[in-house]
Amino acid sequence: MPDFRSIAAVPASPADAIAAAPADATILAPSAARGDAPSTTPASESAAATTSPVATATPVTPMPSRAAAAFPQRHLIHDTMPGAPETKRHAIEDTAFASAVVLELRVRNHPGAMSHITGLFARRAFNLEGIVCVPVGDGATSRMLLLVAGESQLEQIERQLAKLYDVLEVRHRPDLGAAFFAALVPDPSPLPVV
Amino acid sequence: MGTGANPHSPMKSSELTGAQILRILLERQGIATLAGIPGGAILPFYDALHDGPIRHVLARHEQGAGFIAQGMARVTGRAAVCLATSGPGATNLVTAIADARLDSIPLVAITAQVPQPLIGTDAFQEVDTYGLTVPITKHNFLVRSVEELLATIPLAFTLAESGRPGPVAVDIPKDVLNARLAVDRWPAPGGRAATLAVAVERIDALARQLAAAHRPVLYLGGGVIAAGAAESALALAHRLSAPVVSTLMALGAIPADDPLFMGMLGMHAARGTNYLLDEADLVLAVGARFDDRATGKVAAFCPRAAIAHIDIDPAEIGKIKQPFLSLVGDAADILRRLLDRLPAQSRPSWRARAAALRAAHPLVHPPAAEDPLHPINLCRHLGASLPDDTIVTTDVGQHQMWVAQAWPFRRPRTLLTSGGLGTMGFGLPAAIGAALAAPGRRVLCVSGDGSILMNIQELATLAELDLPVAVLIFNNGHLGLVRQQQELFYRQHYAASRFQSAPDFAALARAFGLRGIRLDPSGDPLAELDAALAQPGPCVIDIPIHETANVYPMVPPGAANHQMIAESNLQPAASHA
Repeated sequence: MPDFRSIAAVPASPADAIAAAPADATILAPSAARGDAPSTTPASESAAATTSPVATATPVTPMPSRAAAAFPQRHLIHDTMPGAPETKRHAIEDTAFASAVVLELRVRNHPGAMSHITGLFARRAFNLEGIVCVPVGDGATSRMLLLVAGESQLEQIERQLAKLYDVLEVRHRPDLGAAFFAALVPDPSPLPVV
Repeated sequence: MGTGANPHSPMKSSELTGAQILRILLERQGIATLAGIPGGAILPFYDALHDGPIRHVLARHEQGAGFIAQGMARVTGRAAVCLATSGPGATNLVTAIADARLDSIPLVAITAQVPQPLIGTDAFQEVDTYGLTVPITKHNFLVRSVEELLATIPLAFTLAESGRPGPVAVDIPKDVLNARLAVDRWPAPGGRAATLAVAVERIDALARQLAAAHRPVLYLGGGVIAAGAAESALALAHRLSAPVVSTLMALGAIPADDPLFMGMLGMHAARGTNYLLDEADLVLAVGARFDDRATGKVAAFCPRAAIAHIDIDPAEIGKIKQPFLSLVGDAADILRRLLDRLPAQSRPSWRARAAALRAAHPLVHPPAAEDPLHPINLCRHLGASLPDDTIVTTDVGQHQMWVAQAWPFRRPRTLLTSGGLGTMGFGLPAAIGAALAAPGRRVLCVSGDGSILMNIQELATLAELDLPVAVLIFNNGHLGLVRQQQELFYRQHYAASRFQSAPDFAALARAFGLRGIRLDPSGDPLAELDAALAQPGPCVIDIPIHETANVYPMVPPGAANHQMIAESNLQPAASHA
């Protein structure tokens, strides 16, 4: 078992590794992983998202964003009902993530790894604003980008992440920010109703 | 993936079932005893156990099996194994697994799962054991093929025992247990992996700071016992002339009668112990995690001290309190190397100050002659009359804190208690596990009339095994620590803390086939107690204690450690009652 893992800020690897993510990458829209964030996302819905397998061929159903002013949660739920409008919309309030930091993880790629990582954020009351995960090479490992709010806890978050058996490496990605995540989930993005 | 779903079809001689492979892997790990309860999904493994040398202890509830395994692990320091079937078997194990996580106890919990084709169909006795155990284990596995068993089982033991120990859950679908595989090479057993040595510069830096301190204190946590660093910690205390405070989990690391030992710190510490920490200028935390029951209000903890922190878990560094110097690694190795660099220091005035604080603030309790069954008198009597290697398990509540305050523990791993999770029902099955792991030693389970009922069914297991476990029930007819908090903080609203009816515990013990005694306070109860303990074999001793006896001092939750409520503050109020 590896006893130490790099937690140092290292030169960023090419951003296009993630940017060129295959279309089937698991992408979760930013959502509050904790109940204390100003979000109306029900806890059960967050929990359901956390059990999504890493980098499977199934794109995750877009979760309600925190753009509650323009698109209140209630409306999003109603949108899925018969007779609802053709599209539902996502938006990211960039200002909310102005101080967010991007962490890059290399993780073992197996069902459950995502659950360990997102569960850690929920359990330890860390705020997780966004996740991107793609398989690397032969698929034995994945690269995961986490958009993390709350810099005050950053060191503790990194250390707790590094303790997870499935997490092989933790790095900073100072070259990336909230805008990177916003670009992956453009606003407004017409998405077909499932 | 193996598909031999029918266990009755003929088997090639070179092939083994997943269940047999699991049994052999456990044997190779050195597992001689495990605890569990069979059920549908795990039956293939019980069939494999039937052919082998591993002793299976049949608990009467899976939580009991989990705590029996914990008892074995806490006594030996090695990972122990508990078993449960799918569904309710697995959910019943959950509390024992979570308990092991909070106290960093190496445990391998093996559960069976419904066959893979049925996973996700809401099959009979199907539950998402993997999902349930994610947040309460160090790591967990869902084994998806018989081949995976060969890698997963040794890895589970390596993870459970390496670094900061903890529980690992392994969920195995029934079809994996039935699948067949010819194994030509067995993997090496898992075990504790070596830890990176701390750089000598950091040890030198700590040695310089310790030598320069005027009022150093050692703050020991359960990691000292897990690391086998108790002897080095004692030597360090004497080398430095530094008083030692201990968390609940570290009791036993330092002999209670050592002149530098100040006992437990925090919520139920002796007053002098918490005052001493307020005066310290350097606190060296070793294998301790600054738990809220130890620190009280964190901002007011050790206000004059610089903190140095030794821990094997890097995530503990700065989690609660930022140290000026941290050493991440094996405490035994770090303390040994530190001792090589530290000259002896006398610090006579600091030693005298610690002794004065201890003498000025003894635990308040009635004299033994007046009230021999006051819990503090009881603990002292028993601690003085039983051998040093006696293992004491507790449940959770007032009796647990009295044991922590007054029992003179002198050796590591002689107090087994649920510290982090605070699980009532821990004591009896943990005592059974301890007795299994330490043959020949006397084991006492000190419990309360509330806690003991939470795993009372394990008296049947105890009767079956006929182990030298004595169960002492401090019986006050209440959930005592709840009643105490209601008295102190909830305007004496005793909601749901008093039992309206109580079983006759002595008769209950006899119904299970055990000796059962109720002490008579009007006679010579201590003689009765000693006589009961002098007889071999298991017994239950019901001890009536005063229902208004409280654990003092007490730091109110959220208050600073110097803001203790003491017995004397309450005497006027008590006299009106």
